[in-house]
Amino acid sequence: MDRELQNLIRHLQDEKCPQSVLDRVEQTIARQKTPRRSMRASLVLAWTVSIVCLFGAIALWQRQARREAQFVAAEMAAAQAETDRALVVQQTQEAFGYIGQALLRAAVHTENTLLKEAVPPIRNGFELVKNKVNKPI
Amino acid sequence: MIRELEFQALSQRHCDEIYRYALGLLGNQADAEDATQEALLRLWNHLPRLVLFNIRSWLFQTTRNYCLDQIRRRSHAASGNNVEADSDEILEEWPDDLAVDPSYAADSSLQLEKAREALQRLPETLRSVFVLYEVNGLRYREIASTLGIPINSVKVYLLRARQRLSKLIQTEELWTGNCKT
Repeated sequence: MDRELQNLIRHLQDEKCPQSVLDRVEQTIARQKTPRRSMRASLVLAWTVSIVCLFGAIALWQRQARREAQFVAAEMAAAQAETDRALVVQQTQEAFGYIGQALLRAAVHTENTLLKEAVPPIRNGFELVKNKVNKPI
Repeated sequence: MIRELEFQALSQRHCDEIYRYALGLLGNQADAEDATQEALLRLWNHLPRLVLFNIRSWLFQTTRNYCLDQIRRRSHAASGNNVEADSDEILEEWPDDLAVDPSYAADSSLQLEKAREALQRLPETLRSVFVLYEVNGLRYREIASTLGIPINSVKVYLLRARQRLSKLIQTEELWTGNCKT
């Protein structure tokens, strides 16, 4: 290859990009970035606001739903308590009835037993003693 | 923040070769600086969408597109004047005292200027291939992907560029010699 050409290649290879070019690029980018940043900030703000609104609405809805659920649960619990109380009263009545019946039966049985089994021997005993007393020795 | 760091690293790594390529294509430092600046700004704007392993090729393509636009604008501007004016201008650019003082012929800066002029007279594709291969040290494959031509064409263009440059430089030498006499 020609000497001049070699020189040219070497010369071009030695060429360096001046720092001023990079500085200018940085300045231009900095100028570009400023409005972009504000735009980005507004976008971020809009996103944040919309997300906050969304979460707020969801939270309100959840709260309302929870309240309704609590109210329904309380009503159901009250109804259940009423039913339980009625059931207890009925069962108590039945139990008392059963006990009363058992006591009546026991009373009847006791009376029968006394009249049939205890009273005749005692009467016979009395009769025997009376006869012995009345007989002169 | 990551974008800034990435851009800084890329611009530091590639700015010199972009500048050299633009200088080789445009032959003018001020225009080469503008081209480098434009390529770096385009890099900044396109960075989020670029694939990193292909950035070097993309940068050369961008620089080339910008330089071609500049060359076209120049030729449009020059077309208003005489077409021959360009070559006349080049001839007129040689200082008059060079013909008088023979010591200038040996001056390396003059030789460099001659070679630079010869490079500027090459067709753009040959110039691109020559600068990318000889100055920036790209491989055939990289040049082919940058310029969008087959690898064999790159080899042929490189050969042609060298031959034409040699011829042009020799012609210049003859011309200088004629002037001197």
